[in-house]
Amino acid sequence: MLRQFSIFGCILFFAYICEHHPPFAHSEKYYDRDEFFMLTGLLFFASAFTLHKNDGKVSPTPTQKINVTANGHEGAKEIDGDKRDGIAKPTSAANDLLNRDQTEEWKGWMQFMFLLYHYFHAEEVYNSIRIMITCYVWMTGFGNFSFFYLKGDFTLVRVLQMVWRLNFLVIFLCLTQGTTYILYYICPLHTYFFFMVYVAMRIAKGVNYTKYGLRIKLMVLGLFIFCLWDWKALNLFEVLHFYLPEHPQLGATNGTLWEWYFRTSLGMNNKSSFILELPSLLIQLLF
Amino acid sequence: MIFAANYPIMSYLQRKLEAQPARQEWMAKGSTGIVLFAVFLWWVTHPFMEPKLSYNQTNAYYGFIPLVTYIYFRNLTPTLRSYSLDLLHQIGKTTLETYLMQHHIWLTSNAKSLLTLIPGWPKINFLVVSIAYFFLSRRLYRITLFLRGMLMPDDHVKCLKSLFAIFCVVGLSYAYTWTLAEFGLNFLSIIGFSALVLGLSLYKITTLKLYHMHSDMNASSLRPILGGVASLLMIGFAWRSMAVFGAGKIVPLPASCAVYANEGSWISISTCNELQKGVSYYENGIDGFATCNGKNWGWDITESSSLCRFTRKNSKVLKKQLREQRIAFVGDSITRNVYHALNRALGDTNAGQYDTNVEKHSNIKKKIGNISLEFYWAPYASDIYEVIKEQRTSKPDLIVLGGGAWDRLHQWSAPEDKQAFIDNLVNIKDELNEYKINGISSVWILPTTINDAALMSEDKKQNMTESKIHEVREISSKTLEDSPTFVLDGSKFTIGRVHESYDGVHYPNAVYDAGAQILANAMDWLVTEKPFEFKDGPHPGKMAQPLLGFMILAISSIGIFFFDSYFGLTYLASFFVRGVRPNDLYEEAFTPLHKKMKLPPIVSSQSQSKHSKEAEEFNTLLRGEDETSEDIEMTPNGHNSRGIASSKRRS
Repeated sequence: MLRQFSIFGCILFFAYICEHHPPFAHSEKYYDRDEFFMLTGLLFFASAFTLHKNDGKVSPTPTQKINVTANGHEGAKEIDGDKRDGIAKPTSAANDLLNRDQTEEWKGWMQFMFLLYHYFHAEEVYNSIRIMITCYVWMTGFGNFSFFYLKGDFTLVRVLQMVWRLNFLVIFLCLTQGTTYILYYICPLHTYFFFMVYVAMRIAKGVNYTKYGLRIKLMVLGLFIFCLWDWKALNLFEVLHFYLPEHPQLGATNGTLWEWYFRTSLGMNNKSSFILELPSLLIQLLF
Repeated sequence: MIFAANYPIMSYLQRKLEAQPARQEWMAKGSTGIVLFAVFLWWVTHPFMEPKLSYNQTNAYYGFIPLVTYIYFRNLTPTLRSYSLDLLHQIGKTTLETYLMQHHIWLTSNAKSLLTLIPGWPKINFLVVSIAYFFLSRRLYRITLFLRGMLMPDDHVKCLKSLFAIFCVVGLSYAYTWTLAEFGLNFLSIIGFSALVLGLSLYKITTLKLYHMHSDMNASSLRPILGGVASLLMIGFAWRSMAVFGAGKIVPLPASCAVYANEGSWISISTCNELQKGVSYYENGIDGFATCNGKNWGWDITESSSLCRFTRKNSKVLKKQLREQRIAFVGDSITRNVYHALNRALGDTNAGQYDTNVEKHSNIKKKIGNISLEFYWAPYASDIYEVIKEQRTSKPDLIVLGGGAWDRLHQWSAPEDKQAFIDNLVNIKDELNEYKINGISSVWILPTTINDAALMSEDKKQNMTESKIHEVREISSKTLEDSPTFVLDGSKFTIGRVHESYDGVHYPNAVYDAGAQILANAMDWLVTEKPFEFKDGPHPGKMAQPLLGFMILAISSIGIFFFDSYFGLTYLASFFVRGVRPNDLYEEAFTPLHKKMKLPPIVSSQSQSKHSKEAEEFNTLLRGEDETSEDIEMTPNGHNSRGIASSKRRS
């Protein structure tokens, strides 16, 4: 554990140096359409060589491997179902509708496009990127719903583990980089949606398994979302998000060193993009 | 969520269709597919083609169209479903980490600029930085999962305990650094020392604990301690040297950059490369170039640690920086040309065009957006003095002056003329110092290079040659000393193109553009940006589209109450294949699933007998498959939640 923390610290230190004291000046983005599409094409071409038949089992995750060693030394609890090793995997898991391999693949190429878009600042593909983020968020809704439906696990542990997965890195990044949480808007976004699904499934969870009960609940959620984002007169959004500061400059307050750290990042851009992002993505969650 | 709620039905339905004869299967799949594709086509040609901002308005409402279409076609056949691309899969696993780390170790300055490890090699740099970035992101993914396993086990008490501990440790560290910063003690040495003490005590505690647990262990050796100290020293050293010699974040240029600002040269950059050719081919209908050696001004390389990153400022950036400023130019034709060039840099492309209808020696007042740009004609040093004395009361935000050529040409013959020029400069100097006291910066423009051979009159050939003007420059610099905040050296950015001066004194507009860019860069330390008044930004509700929202509600309700993830389109399939109406499949699809997952049984509202046989078949199909339904989980937390769940179920 100490070792993992040390490596974690080193990576954060590296990120800090890259951000604040890079060896050479940061360079500006330059959009080269030719290169952008060449790299995109290259990715899909290279991926074509990695075509493989889904075997239905997820390749052992790094965690599993670590766990195997950790069990011996530090008595870590298994968290990734080691017991599954050796159990014959059914074939249909590999070719089910939207199977796991497929969704990971989907996430993969969307992420690649997303990153490439950022690197080249390729504004002309903005609309496509927007739709990809939408899909990505939709997957959150899909995954969490399925989980809660199938497992019915609403325990605190589950919530904590999920929140940890989503926010562990981002919190330490905020602390070391002196940035704000809202800057990495994907994280609050996913956390927010996670809780939304959680609440929706938790309230009256008894009816989750009746034919129409669940569906009525979903419809109510839909109406709620509609009221929240589309019904201006209700002002429900303001009421429910009273804790979000109306004024964007929230961080840059005290201490010389910290103020210097806080200097950038905030601005109204981040805030407004979050607000813009929310409704567009939330509706997708419903589907 | 609707899709997820209907998921078992859709999955089952698909299998059912695939069990039909091929013709029926494809009629059914095709009918849904065609309609879906038609809607998708409409989406591509209409909402998707909107420009960025109006697209944003509707993305929420139409976004489901491509989403559902992609899912439908990606999962069309069993073969398509059973293959995936491993490379993409690998990228897909660490999306959260790659998303977060891109801000700092791939892009920088919060994703606004690029991290550069190999300057001058943009593509190689891209490669190297990307490799490090992907490697570290994957490492972080493993660390996050590992630490979660350690600190957030499936045990309430342990979870809360470690959460509390983490909060304590982070809170204490934060409080400690805050205290250090508050008392101005945040030196590297103190931080290093604290880290050392902490590290040593941590080491002591762990070894003691381990010693108790395994009493047969050897006594602690010195090696880990030395290693720890060494690595701490290394980190500290790296930090220090990077802070001193590294480049730093992108910040406005400091005033110390003034010494470098005028240094650079005109180089010819060939635009006749394949890239430019391709761009002009598609955008301008040009195939092949006749000329390609345009001259461009560039600044000399400065040391990384100087923080002087001169760069061309486009009109958008410049407009933002000069928002609501009033800039007054006072001087002769050289100053006026720089004035026009700054107007061009701000987006007024016609500024300074040759026009005999415009009075040559007159004042100009202009407003570009909310920026006021004024030019006062003041050829002689004495005129300049008069104007700036007068202007001081109206307090411009920046004043740009330049002169000396007229004095040299017309009032130089007697020794007292020269003295008068110097006296006027002294007056100007005093005045500029007054400006400085009032917090107003000033710029002095030294005359541009003279092209002796092109001078048009005998008078000029006598009194205005480069060597004579050079003397004027020296006198001005010496007399004004450091009263102007910045000196724009006209000779520096013109010397490389001296042969292009058509009358010996003036240059083509493009040359002055370089001067305006030098000035624009100097703006970083010359003007203070006016604080941006936060007028009501976008409020929640701006994006609301009640009508479209209502449409979504309607479509959703179809999806919800007709048990169809494709919003009713699947019913088309039931024209071709009997018994696949999603509505009827509810029990067939859910019963085995619930049985398998040990969920409460389906409350049967209809008779089950009708489909019981099929359900039975499906059940046997499912019996062997253990993990099917688990594999649909794909939140960023990926594997673990499934793992937790599966171990839970087994226990």
